[in-house]
Amino acid sequence: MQDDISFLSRGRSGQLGQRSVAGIATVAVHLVALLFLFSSHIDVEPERTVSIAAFDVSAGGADHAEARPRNVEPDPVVPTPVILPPPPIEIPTLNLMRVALMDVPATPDGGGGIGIGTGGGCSLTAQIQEHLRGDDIVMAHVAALEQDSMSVANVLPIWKAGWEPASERISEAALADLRVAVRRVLDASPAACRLQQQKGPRFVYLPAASQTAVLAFGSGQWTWQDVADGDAVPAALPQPTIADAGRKRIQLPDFGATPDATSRVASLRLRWFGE
Amino acid sequence: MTHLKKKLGLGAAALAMAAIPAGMASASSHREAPAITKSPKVDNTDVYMFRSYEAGREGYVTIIANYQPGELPFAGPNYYTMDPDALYEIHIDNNGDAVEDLTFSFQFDNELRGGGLALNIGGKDITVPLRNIGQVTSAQDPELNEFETYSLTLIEGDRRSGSRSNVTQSGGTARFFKPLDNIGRKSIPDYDAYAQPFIYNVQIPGCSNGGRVFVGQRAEAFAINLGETFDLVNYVPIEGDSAPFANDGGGFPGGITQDRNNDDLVGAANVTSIAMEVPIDCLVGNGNGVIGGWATASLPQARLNDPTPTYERPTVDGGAYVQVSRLGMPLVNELVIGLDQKNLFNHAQPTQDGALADFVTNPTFPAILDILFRDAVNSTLGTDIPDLAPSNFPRSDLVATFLTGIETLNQQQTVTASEMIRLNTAVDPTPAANQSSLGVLGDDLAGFPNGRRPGDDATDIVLRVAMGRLCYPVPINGQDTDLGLCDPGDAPVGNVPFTDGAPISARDLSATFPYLITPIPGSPDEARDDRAARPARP
Repeated sequence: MQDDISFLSRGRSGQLGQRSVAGIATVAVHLVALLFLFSSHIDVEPERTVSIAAFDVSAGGADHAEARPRNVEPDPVVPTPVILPPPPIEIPTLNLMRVALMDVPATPDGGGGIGIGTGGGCSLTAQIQEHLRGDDIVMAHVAALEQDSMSVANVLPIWKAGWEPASERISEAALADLRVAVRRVLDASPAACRLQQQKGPRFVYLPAASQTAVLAFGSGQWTWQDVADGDAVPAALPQPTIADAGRKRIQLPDFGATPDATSRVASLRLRWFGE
Repeated sequence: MTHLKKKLGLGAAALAMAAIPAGMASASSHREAPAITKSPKVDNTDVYMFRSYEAGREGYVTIIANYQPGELPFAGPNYYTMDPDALYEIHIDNNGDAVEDLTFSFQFDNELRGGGLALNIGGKDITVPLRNIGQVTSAQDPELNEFETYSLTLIEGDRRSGSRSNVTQSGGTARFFKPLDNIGRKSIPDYDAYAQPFIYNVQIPGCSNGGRVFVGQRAEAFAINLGETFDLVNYVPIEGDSAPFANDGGGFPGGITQDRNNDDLVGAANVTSIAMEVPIDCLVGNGNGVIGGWATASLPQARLNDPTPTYERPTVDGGAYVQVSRLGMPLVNELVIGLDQKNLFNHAQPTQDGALADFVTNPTFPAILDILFRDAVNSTLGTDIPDLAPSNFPRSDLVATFLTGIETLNQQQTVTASEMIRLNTAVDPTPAANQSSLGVLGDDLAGFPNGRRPGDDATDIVLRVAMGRLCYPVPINGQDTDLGLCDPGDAPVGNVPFTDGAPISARDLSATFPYLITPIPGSPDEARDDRAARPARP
């Protein structure tokens, strides 16, 4: 800049003088501009980038630069481990996929018919169903049945540790014809099939008119021989083959004959554990 | 799995329960496995299968497969279309070999009207950001910017290699429309009237009679006290009234009572339903009339994300279809399968269920309830029960319920233990007015677990069965009947009325196909509030 000024001052007079003034003015303007630019930034601190985590809404109006990070989550509490001994688990010796069929001999099914699942190799349930469907007298009784308003599924218990008595839904005459038809099938079946242990009810489905009557035979453990024997007490059945060792038996408290009627807890205990 | 068995304790139980995804969308099988949470469009949430109980339709079976859990009614602008790259399928096994004999396969397509409706803005045609730009009243309404269609294929035999034929509308058209989701009353003032035409009468190849199909948004019908259940069962899970809705506090002290407010899904969320009604004769084949059913969703093996996606092709998909979601019985993958195997279950075929049988024969959920509540139960009742969980191992009652069916009730002629819903088509349907929400436990043989109806309270039923209810006699026409599966001594609290307090019944729903009711509208707020406040109908 000094060189520029000295050059200008050594310049020829007149034109050179005008040039000198213009040059000096231009430089001066530039200097002022530069000073202005510098001065506009000197006194202001650069804006800080504030992390979202540093933003504290509860401080309201506080300087962001002074806001503290807020704890958005409490420190996790490590749960105290409680180690309980695992309960004894029975390891079945049979293929797990046959658990539900372990009392059913693996013989070819004689034909289930609509509605019947496997009743075992003998398929007495299926045979009875087939026979009843072909019995015109029985089916006439079925068609005359009124839908039971008590049971939404329209199930008729027929035999449960004994032949069921007549009711509003089914007459004694109809039951008698049913018994005859069932016994006909049982009398013609092998003894081994009649003695095959059944677990739970067996349902027989008889479609008639616009509905299907469902007849229920049995409950718990029973055999078709029990049915053939009529009202005889079912014979004692062998225990299940799965080992019972290690299975805990619950000791139920003795509630006595007269629970506190005002105690809801006592009534619950009687209802759930005293039956 | 071995180390988990050895670590049965509060810590392990707490971790197991805490690891289960919580929140609105986790129920029958909603977001139930880690992998499926990444793909909500193909997340199978519920499957229902039952004899149709609409008057005059008793000769049909209705199958409903729900997808996309926890649909928020107000989730615009895209709402809930189905994945056009996926296969949504319903499978039927009618001979008991755990292999599908029939598959109904749905494929979806989304299309922009004319490449996208546009408005002339300042002399330029600019496409709009909405699915509708005015009121919508029909399938191809001109106000619709985007419409969704699907095709339906019947596959006989193996789902990928079997013989294929189109299910068509009565007029022969093989293309079906899916209605727009219930955006709100300004867009769709009368959603029932709008959605009704989307129930199609269809011709099913090989069936002498036709059927019906509907695919669209419906209100969620799976009742569950979701948040609290997965918060380590943060309530007393035993009926607090002397009977449901008795409002007398005469049940278990502090026990939860039935209230719609306990439910996190019904009245709060929607779901996308695939509903079919098929003649019974078309389904039973040469079996004994008991059919097994389950639903799946499959995606192509490979997906490449396109850095320059288009509407038609946001990704590039290819390869063989891989099953990514599967559901038959409710709550299996939710509460039965271990967290480490949930992804596997979703990918497994029923024929592979033997590898996961331990979860059924030796379930953890009853043991978890025992850990959580044994002390409280004993102190409340003054008892000294050492273990609330049933002790009959293997759990033959659960095997019968979930894997084989109950003999002569819903067991197929040939049984291959596998997880699916089993329906005995010989059992007459119960009219909606008479249905028991407890199904078989409520003296209603037409209900769960003999098939599953929308009004069956599957949560309460599964809770009770898990704790040994079937070890006690069940009522059959009012008579207590021993199912012969286990003994009362095996289940010390098996006859306790376990419940999550979230009720559902057939009276809350429709008595006509597709049985699930109008979806909750996204707008106005008052409409949503009204649905949330709608009381349960016992």
